[in-house]
Amino acid sequence: MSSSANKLSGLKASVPRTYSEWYSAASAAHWLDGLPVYPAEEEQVARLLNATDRAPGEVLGVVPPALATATVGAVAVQAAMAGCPPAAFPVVLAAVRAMLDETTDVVGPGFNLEGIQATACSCAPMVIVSPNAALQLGMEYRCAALASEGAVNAPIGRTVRLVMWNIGGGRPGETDMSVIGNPGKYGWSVAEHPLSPWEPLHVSRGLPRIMDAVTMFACDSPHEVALGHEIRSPLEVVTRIANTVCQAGSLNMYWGGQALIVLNLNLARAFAAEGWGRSDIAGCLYELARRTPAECNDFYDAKMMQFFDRPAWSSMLRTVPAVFGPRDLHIVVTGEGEGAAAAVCPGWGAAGGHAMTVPLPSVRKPEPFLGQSEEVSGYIADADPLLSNVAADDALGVRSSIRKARRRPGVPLRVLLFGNYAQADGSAGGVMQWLERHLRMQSSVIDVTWYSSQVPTRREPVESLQRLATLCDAVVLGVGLSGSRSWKIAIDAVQFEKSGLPTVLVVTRGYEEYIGNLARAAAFTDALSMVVIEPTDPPLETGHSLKLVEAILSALQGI
Amino acid sequence: MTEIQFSSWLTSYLRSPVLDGWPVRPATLVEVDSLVAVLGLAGEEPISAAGTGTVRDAAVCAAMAGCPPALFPLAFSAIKLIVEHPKETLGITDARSPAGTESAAAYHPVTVLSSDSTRANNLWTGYGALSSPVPGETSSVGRTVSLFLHRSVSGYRDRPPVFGHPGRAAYAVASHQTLSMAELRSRVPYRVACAAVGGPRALYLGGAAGQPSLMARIIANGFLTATCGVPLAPRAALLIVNPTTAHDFNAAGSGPLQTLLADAARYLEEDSQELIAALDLLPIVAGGASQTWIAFAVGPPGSAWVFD
Repeated sequence: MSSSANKLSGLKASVPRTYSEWYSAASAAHWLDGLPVYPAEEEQVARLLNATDRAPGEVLGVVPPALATATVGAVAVQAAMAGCPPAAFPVVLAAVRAMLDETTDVVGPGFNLEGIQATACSCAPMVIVSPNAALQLGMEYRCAALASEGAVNAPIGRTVRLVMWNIGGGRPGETDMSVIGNPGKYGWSVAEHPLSPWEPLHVSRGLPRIMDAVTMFACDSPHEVALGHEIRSPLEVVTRIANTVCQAGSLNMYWGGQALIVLNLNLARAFAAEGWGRSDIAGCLYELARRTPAECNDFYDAKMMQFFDRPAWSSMLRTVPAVFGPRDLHIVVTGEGEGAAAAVCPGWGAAGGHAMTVPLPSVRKPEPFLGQSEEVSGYIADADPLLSNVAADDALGVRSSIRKARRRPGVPLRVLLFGNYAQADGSAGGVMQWLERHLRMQSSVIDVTWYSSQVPTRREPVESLQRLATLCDAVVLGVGLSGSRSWKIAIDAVQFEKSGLPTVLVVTRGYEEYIGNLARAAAFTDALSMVVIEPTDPPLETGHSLKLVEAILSALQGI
Repeated sequence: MTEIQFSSWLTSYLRSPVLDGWPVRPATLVEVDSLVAVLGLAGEEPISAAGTGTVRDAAVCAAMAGCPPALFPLAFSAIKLIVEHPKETLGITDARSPAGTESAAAYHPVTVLSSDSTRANNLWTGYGALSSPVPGETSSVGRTVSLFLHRSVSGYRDRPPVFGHPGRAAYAVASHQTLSMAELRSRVPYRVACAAVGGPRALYLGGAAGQPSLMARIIANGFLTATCGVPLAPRAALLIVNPTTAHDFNAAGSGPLQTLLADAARYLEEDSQELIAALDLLPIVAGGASQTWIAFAVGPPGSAWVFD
């Protein structure tokens, strides 16, 4: 074993004799997401760590929903399982760092990985590698350019997925509520074409051209634009792309956010030959990718458009654009082929998944995935980062004593109510508004503070919620019918409980198990107090509503 | 191949051009033999008269994909359908020649496992149905098919698309065990269905939930956008609706979904109902029961569903 393998001193190795033995153990440990992975051999992990100057223990960030720490060493284990060449490991580290970047942008919450891991949408994180780095690494940018194929593309995307799966604990049906999913969730990596007539994506996003960079963007599978492979006029091409961007049912059309536009090399050159640059395409597309209020009414009822704040837009702009501005349309050139090709990858609306770009250190020439040694030095068989996180829970007794210290005898209980969105339907989010009015009638025992946000995944409202909570004796949170919002609120509930603040969750039926899974993933082992409502409940104007109030009061009295 | 140390296998095999860069299991002799035995066929028997690959070739791919013997007959059926119907399932007329002008686009055979197959094998069909999370289940069937295409179908490997889509690594979905659309096609007994289609396009129908005519308009608009309104030859279309959406459509009792979609298309664009009516539509139910979602994928002109 090379000396660099000693960097793995914190990881205990065991040596299954065969791949089958290892595979069975990995499967039992839930390391597998449906597709095969390689065993993480010590020697290969050491090679990966040698490809970076970073120490194995260096922390890249905390990966939701498990809130487990992603160290360089833990990511290297995932990279070994994905078959990542060592030279591509810095790309993976940059991708993980971009994904965990909590910087918000002007239109929303930035990448918002916690939402991406939990949302009901089909978006998957795409790793976009700048052209120089792609060339150095031998990435595929000529054909099947969005399919994440090849000995470098596939492992980069696959590693990111395994980080989300094994470190973050984002697992479908448990904590990941993606309703239909997307094969891109298995791993998705794309290389920009080095011969693009325009500057690389990262330059248009403000980084110097001399740098290499990685951009993360969460999106749906590519929606190919029907161009019939003909080189058409720029305006006709943009019009066809615009039709795809503002397609009814797209989350962009509902909710703004960002979208990725992919052009093959021929088409990009045709645009450039006509004097069109990236910003020209984005500007024109922004103007064309929009619908009139009448067209919106063809597809959506008024309630939904009001929820997404679209009437305000339409009154100001007369039409409803798919995104907030031209800067929210990212244009990438990749793929060759004989004719013209374009695709649209719709983003996750205003909730997140927005492009995050980070610089790369200089990229080395790739080495083989494995050396020629026939000797197997051992598989990392117990490096599941989740396991190290499970024991971090507070003791129940400590929390109880904090609670008692907060209570003020003879004074109405100060209760903070939070509705996760202003939807007046039967889900818990909508029910909270109704609940607020009814709990206010109980003023002798309850002093209600009401807080509502349409987009609670944004940092500012959540921080406001936490500030308000410090002034209260208990919190009631509404959860349901939205994986990403529910995740944030469930984690808030865990944090409130851990800090000794009693918390009751009003949960839409079907989400109670999900909430339990999230709490366990966040290392909270006690049961959260929940009141479950039916998603098909009417607007709660009957005796049924009184039962709900009673249930809430009962839950509050019991804490 | 016998059970050997993993790295020596990988060192010799990883750089093979017949792999697509995604991790695979080593295919051991024991596993391959057991997979072949499940079919009751000779290993060297050609899969079809077209001569593309043998039973053993398919078994090697299944072993590398982690496909268990119980599911190998389904994966083998998909491979056999693809080999015997390349035009419908790959969008190519033979192993090398592209059909039409869109052959370089993002088409890839999707494998649909019927409700009966899902039930018989207790497969995952809930949240993330298109990225099935359970090892040795639906994803292994899709992965087996993809590996076979890379290893054995020269036209597939030699003429890759410009863009492709992530489903090229594994593109399979298991239909809901009990729910189905009120649609004739989905009630014809089959185990496996295959067709060449593009990547899945997810659409959120939340703003139209409970209103089948609005939901149908959104879906019809999707099909019209995907085909750019060009009245080309009939083409395969997969429509995945989640259980909530299926409930809304079925509860409305609005008749065959394709008729509803064609009416919606006519509302949106005059005369466009013919485009919808010409689709070879396979609607299935899959995915989680939260919210109102669909995903659809459209094939090239000339593509069609083939069933086993």
